[in-house]
Amino acid sequence: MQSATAFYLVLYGATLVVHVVFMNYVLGGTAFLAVASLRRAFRRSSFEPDPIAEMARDWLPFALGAAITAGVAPLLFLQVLYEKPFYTANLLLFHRWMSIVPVLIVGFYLLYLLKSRPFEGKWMPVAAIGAFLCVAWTGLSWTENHVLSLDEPQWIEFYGRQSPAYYKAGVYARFGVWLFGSLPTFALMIAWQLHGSSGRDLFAPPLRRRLERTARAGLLVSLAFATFYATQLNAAGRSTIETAGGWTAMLVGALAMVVQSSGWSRIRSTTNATARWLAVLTAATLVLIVAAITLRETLRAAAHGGSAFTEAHAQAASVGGFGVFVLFLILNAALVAWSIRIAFRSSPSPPSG
Amino acid sequence: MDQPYYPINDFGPVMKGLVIGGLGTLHVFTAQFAVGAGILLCYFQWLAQTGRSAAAREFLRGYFRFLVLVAFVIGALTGVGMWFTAIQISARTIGTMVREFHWIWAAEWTFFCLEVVSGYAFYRCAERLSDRDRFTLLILYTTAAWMSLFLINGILSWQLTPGDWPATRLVWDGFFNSSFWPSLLYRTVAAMTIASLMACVVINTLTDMPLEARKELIHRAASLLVFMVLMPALGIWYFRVIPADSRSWLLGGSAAMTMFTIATVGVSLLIGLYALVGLIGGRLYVNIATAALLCALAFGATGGGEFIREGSRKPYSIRQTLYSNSIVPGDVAHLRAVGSVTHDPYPLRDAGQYPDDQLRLGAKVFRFQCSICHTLDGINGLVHLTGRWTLDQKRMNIAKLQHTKPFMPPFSGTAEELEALVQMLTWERAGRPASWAAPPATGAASRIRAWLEEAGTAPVRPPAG
Ligand code: HEC
Ligand code: HEM
Repeated sequence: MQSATAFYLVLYGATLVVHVVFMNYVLGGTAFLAVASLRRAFRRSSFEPDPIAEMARDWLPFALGAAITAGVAPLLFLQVLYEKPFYTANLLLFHRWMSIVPVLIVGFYLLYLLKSRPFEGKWMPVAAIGAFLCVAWTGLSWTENHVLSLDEPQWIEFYGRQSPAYYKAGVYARFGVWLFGSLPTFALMIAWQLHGSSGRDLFAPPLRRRLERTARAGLLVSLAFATFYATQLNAAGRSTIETAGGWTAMLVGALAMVVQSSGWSRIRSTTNATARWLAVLTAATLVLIVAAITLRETLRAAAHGGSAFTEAHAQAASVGGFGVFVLFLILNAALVAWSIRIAFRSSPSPPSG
Repeated sequence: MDQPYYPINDFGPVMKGLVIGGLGTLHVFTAQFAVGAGILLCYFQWLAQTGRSAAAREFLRGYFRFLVLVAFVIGALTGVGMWFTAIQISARTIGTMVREFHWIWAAEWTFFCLEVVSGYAFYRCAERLSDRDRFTLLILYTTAAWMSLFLINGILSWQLTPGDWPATRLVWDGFFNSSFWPSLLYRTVAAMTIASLMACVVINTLTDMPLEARKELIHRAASLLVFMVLMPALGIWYFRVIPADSRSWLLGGSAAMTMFTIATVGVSLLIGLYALVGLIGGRLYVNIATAALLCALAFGATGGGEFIREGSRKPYSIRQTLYSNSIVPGDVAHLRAVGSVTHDPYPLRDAGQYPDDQLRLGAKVFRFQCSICHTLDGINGLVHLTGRWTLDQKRMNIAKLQHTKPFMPPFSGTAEELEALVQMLTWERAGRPASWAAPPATGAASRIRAWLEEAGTAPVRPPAG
C-alpha cells in the first residue's frame, strides 16, 4: 500500500473510532431509554428511580453533540480517501441522504426534552422512541450510503430508477451489527459513569446485572447480524475477508468479544476491583471497534483500490498545512483537558443542569 | 485531467444557488451568533465579576442556555448540512477544496472540539464555578469559536480571490488572500451585531427582573453594536479587493445581484442607525417585538451577504480554477472536441419522454453544463430566457455564451451538442410535443462552429486576480 494512502487511512480510522464511541452511546442510549420508558409505561418495572436511565438522559444531549463533532474529522478524511464513491452515493441518495440534517435536529431537541422533564408521564415513551428513531434513521443512512458507495456496478441503474432508497438485505443486516453492537459500548460507558459517581453507591449489584445482560445480548445479536451480513457479500467481498488480513481482524474481534463477555461476569460478581475490570472491558471494546473498522476498510480497499485512488492520495498529501493541524491538535487537546479539569473541580457533587 | 461525471439531481423549479444560499444563511447566522455570543458573554462575565453590573450574572445563565439550544444544535447540524449541500450542488468544487485545504479544515475541527467541550463545561458547571474559572471557560469557548471563523474564512474567501495561489499552489498563498482580512473583520462585526440583537430578545424574556435592571442590560448589550460603524469601511475595503468583474455584477452588471447588494447595504444601515440613535445614544428600551424584528433584519442582511458571496464568483465556483458547472477552464477546448457528455455514463431519468435522440442529447448537455445555474422553466429558466429568440439567435448566443453574459462560462461541447441543446429548448418551448420534426438546420453546424471559434475558449474578461 502506498504511504499516502496508509497515512490517510490511519487518520480516518483513528478519528472514526472516536465517532463510533460517542455514536454508540447515543444509539445504545436512546435504544435503552426507549425500552425503559415502555417498560415503565406498561408498569413492568416499578416507579423507583432508574439510575441508568437518569444518567443516560442527563448526558445524551452532550453525547450527541460529541458524536456529531467527532464525525466531522472522519468525514473530512473520507473525502480525501474516497472522494468519488462517497460523493456519488450522497448524490444518488439525494433527499434520503439530506434528511439526516432535519431528522437529527428533531432528535436533538427530543433529547433536551427528555433531559429536562421527569422520566414519567404518558408522553415519555413517545419522546424516547422518537429520539431513538431519529438517531437510528441517521445510522441507517450512513450504512446505506456506505454500502451503496461500495456497489459501483449499481450506480447507473440506481440513478435511472430514481428509487428513494437503496433497499438491500445487506444494508439492514449491516445496520443490525452497528445497532446491537452499540449496546456493549453504551453499557460500559454508563458503568464508568455510575462507578465514577458511586460515592452514593449508584453502581449497585442489580444495575450491574442489568448492564451485563444488555452488553451480552448486544454482542450476541450483533454477531448474528454480522454472520448474516457476511453471507450477503458478493464473491469479491467474501474472498477479501477470507484473506490472512481478514481472518486476523475477525479473530482479534472474536477474542475481544470473549474478553468482554467474561469481563462482564466479573463486573457482576465482584464489587471490588471494578475499575480494573472496567479498564479491561474498555480495552476489549476499543480492540473490537478497531478490528471492525479494519475489516470494513479492507473490504472497501478491495472495491475501490487502484492507481487512480493512490495517486489522488499522494497528490493530497503534497499540499501544505499538516504542521498547523498537528500544532492545533496538540494545543487544543491540552485546552480540552484543561476545560474538563475545570469542570471537575467545580463541586464535590456530580454536575447536572 | 479526465472530466469526472457525477449523477446530477434535479431541484425542480428551484435554482441550485438558492438552495445553498438558503441553508447557508441559516448556518452563517447561527454560527456567527455563536461567535458573537462568546464575545458578549466574556464582556458580561467581566461586568459581573468586577461588580460593574449586578444583573449581568442572571443574564449570563439565560443567554448561555439559549446559545446552547440554538447554536450547538442548529449551528452544528446546519454545518454538516452545508457540507452535504455543497456536495449536492457541486461535488467537484467541494472535492477540490478538500484536496487543497483539508489540513485547514482538520485544524478547524480541533477548534470545534474545544468549542463543544468548553461550552458544555460552562453550561453544566457554571453555577458552581469561581468567577475566574467561568471567565477562563468563556475565553476558551470564544477563542475556539472565533478561530473556526478565522479558518473557514480563509477557504471561503480564497474561492473568490485566490491571490497568488493559482501560480504557486501554496496553501498559505491561497489562505491569506486579498479578501481574507476585510471579510474576517466584517464577519466578526456581524457576529457581534447578531449576538447583541439576540441578547435584546433574551433580556426581554427575563420577566422576573425589574425593568430598570433590564434597561441597563440592554444598554450594555447594545454597546457591542458600536462596532457597526466599521462596517461601511470594511465593506468598501472588501469591494475594492474583489475582482473587477465580480464587483461589476454587484454594482449594476447583474440586476438580481445588484438588488441583493442594495438590500443588504440598506438593511445593515437601518440596523446601524437604530443602534446609534436609539440604543446607544438615547438609552431607548427595545421591547421583544422590536428586538425580534431587528434580528429578522439581521437575518435578512446575512442572507443578502451569502447570496452576494455565492453570486459574485460567477462564472467560477473557484476563481480561475473551476467553473460553476464543474468544468476546468483548461478542459474547455478538449470538451469542444470530444463532446461534453460523450462519456457521461448517467442516463436521463426521463429519457422516454423525448421523441428522439437529438433531444435526449440536448437534455444531457443542459443537465451537465447549464443546470447548475438555470432551470428549464422555473427560476432563471432557459425556456423563458430564450423563448422569443430565433433558432440562429439561440445558436449564436449559446455558442458565444461568455459574451452573451460574462458571468457565464464558455460553451464546452461540440457543435452537434449545441444544436441538440437549441432543439431541446425549442421543443420545450413548443410544449414538449410527442412527435418532433426538427426545424430545418441547413448549414447550421458550420455557422455554430464559426461562432464557437469566434468566441474562443477563454472567459470574456481576463481574470484580474
Ligand atoms: C455560472 C452560472 C451559469 C451557467 C453555468 C450558465 N448560465 Fe446562462 N445565465 C446565467 C445568469 C446568472 C444569467 C442571467 C439571467 C438574467 O439576466 O436574468 C444567464 C442568462 C442566460 C441566457 C439569457 C441571456 C440574455 O441575454 O437574456 C441564456 C440564453 C443562457 N443564460 C443560456 C445558458 C446556457 C445554454 C447554458 C449552458 C450551456 C448556461 N446559460 C450556463 C448563469 C449561468
Ligand atoms: C447520532 C447520529 C449518528 C449515528 C447513529 C451514526 C452512525 C454511524 C454508523 C452506524 C456508521 C457506520 C456505517 C457503516 O459502516 O455501515 C457511521 C459512519 C460514519 N459517520 Fe456517523 N452517525 C451519526 C452522525 C454522524 C454525523 C452527524 C456525522 C458527520 C459529521 C457522521 C460521520 C460519519 C462518518 C464520516 C462515517 C464513516 C462513513 C464511511 O466511511 O462510509 N456521523 N455513523
